[in-house]
Amino acid sequence: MIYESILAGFVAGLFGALVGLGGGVILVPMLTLLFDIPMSQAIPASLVGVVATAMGGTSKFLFDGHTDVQLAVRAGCITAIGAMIGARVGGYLPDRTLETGFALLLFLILWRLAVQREVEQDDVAVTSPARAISLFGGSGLIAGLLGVGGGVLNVPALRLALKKDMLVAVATSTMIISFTAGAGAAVYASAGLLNWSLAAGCATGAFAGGRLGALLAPRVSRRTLQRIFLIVILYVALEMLAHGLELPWWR
Amino acid sequence: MVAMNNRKRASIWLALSVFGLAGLLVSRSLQPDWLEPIGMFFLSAPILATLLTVRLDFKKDPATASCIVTLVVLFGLTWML
Repeated sequence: MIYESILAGFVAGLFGALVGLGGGVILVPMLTLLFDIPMSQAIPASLVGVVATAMGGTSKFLFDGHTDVQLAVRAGCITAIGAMIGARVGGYLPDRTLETGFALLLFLILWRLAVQREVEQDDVAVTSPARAISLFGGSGLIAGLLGVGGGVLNVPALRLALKKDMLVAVATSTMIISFTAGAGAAVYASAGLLNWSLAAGCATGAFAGGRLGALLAPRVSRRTLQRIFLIVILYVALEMLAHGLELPWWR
Repeated sequence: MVAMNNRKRASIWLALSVFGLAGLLVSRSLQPDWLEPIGMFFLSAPILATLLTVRLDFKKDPATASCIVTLVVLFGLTWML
């Protein structure tokens, strides 16, 4: 299983870095749909992988001086509490419910990617700390529950509610994710729900893939990759929804 | 609030993540009993890196300092409970 987990982590880290998403969105479906690992094991392992990619990314962004450390610590505190609650709840939910929830999250990401241009050009939003706090709380909750980083909500919170530049938002979100995923995984670990052997493979692969993806990102067509990614995510979302709802046409 | 330059901060974050990952891989193959404590260290690495790179100043920036202390307490409680 170690080779499969390293491979899954590597692919997730690589594509995550190339298309600008955390690895968890790719890692959890790979573990469950390709390697038949139950959601209850894939989610905690994915969170450990997300810690690895987020720490590597944070190192790069800190070096470049893009991260708002003060904001990351404050927001990280909120998302960490959310992740701990999410992980505690997630430990009690059946795999089918988690799969359905994950499919809904993928549809949210699809929608976000599809309207990203409009969101980036949104200039009417004023600074709203209350909106940011609720988005950070939601981000942590989703991260702990479904094994992702929560960047899909962190970036809008930083961009639209706190009016940060895109680069600062992504850099700060990466640091926030390291706290979020660490807190979520810690709860699963303390409850004895974390398969450390699987997590070690995922984390190593994700870290290596993320570093390679960060190196390759400036040299590949981001638009083409995002189109491919949209199709893959749509397929995965439908597959997970069908699996979660036990629809008859699911293989 | 920040106690050091970007290069040092980035190096500390990178070193802790690489050290944690190497520990996880080595213990997985050689000392499986150590996997859990090393894994716990790895999960706490972001907090540790923050503590090493940010100066806690309750007078100048009480909100951020309180958040860091809260994170440390939350992680500590999670391990203990």
